[in-house]
Amino acid sequence: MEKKKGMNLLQKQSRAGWVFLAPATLLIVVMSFWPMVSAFITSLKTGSSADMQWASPITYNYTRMFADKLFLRSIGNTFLYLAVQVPIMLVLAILLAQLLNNKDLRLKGFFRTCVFLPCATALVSYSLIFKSLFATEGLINTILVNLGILSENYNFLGNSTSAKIVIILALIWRWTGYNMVFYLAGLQNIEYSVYEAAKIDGANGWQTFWGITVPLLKPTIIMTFIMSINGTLQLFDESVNLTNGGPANSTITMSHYIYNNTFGTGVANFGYATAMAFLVFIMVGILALINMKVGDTRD
Amino acid sequence: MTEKKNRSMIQRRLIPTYIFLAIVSFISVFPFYWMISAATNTSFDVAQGRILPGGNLAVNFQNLIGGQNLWGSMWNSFRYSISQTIIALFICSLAGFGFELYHDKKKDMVFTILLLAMMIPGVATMIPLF
Repeated sequence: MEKKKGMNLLQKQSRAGWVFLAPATLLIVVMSFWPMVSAFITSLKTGSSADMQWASPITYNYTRMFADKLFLRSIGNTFLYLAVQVPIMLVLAILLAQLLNNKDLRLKGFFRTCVFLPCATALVSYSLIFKSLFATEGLINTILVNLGILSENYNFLGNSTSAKIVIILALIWRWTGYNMVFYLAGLQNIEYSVYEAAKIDGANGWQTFWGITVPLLKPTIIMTFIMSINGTLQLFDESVNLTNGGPANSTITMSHYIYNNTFGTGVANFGYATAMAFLVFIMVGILALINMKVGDTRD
Repeated sequence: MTEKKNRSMIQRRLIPTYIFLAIVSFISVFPFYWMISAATNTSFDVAQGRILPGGNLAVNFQNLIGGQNLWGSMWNSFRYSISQTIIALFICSLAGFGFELYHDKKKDMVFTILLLAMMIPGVATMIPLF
């Protein structure tokens, strides 16, 4: 390799680029990737935080996980929330975005603000609001009884099915506006002339939607899909604050169960908890990968 | 004349849209209203599902300020959020600038890897960071 006195321009530029990237890269590596590695190492150990030892079969925590009924249930719950909530929310978001993108619509700003407003609430506070709304003596019960839909007050959060429904409703309420904003931004990037051309060609609303809006919004749809899956797999605040996992742990989510194993119930199973957390990470990674592959092939 | 007629026809066709949006907006905003009105009621009334505002606002605020270290915790929140925002803005705009202006194959790869970091669940890094 020959040594020149100075670097050429390209090398200099490349060097400058790396300098710009360095702080962010370093921070992310230290705060995210390194903890991931150390989490993996911890997941192979057992014992309380003070004296951790290598698990006797090294995969002990991982095999234990699949025999743990409660953890399997928490996986089932999380995927149930995912399967029900994400499609409803995204369809609702796209519908709202479509309606709010109409150029003849008046009071657009008002409606947009209203729909987006739930996103401005903290997770804990909206969970508490929903908790009191759906309490046995709460507002929803009062309304339903007065309307004659229910004959007596119903304990929504005391029954596992209705508690799950309340969690899903709360999630939809909180996140629809958030996703709608992405769709709205995507829709505004589609030129109106494309729609006009479709109109001249005699396409009806349904055809325009599937033929123009969905294909052109596809990157946005995939992004919101990945983000929603990611968020739902890590669902924590709602489960903790709305139902506290109850009744009888029937609404617990994976993150909540991991938390319980770490700080929640007095037992500090750091090894076991990190093993479960690692599984969550793998799930999120796989789902994201599938999504990106699906998104790539058609473009 | 015809244009005016046309416009009112368009608005008339949008009536279902308006109704739908009004319902969605109501659902979105109602919990906020409820939170505000609950702030003016006693806990007993809140538990009973009282919708209308009551006269208990002053007492509730006194409890809020007297019951815990409100200003201290608010100061903590503000301190964290402000310093975090400034640092994040600085570092992220540096990185964004670097990625955009000097990008090549290697940096694009780093970009993808860094994006992966977004996927790492909070619970997974919680224990090592703790």
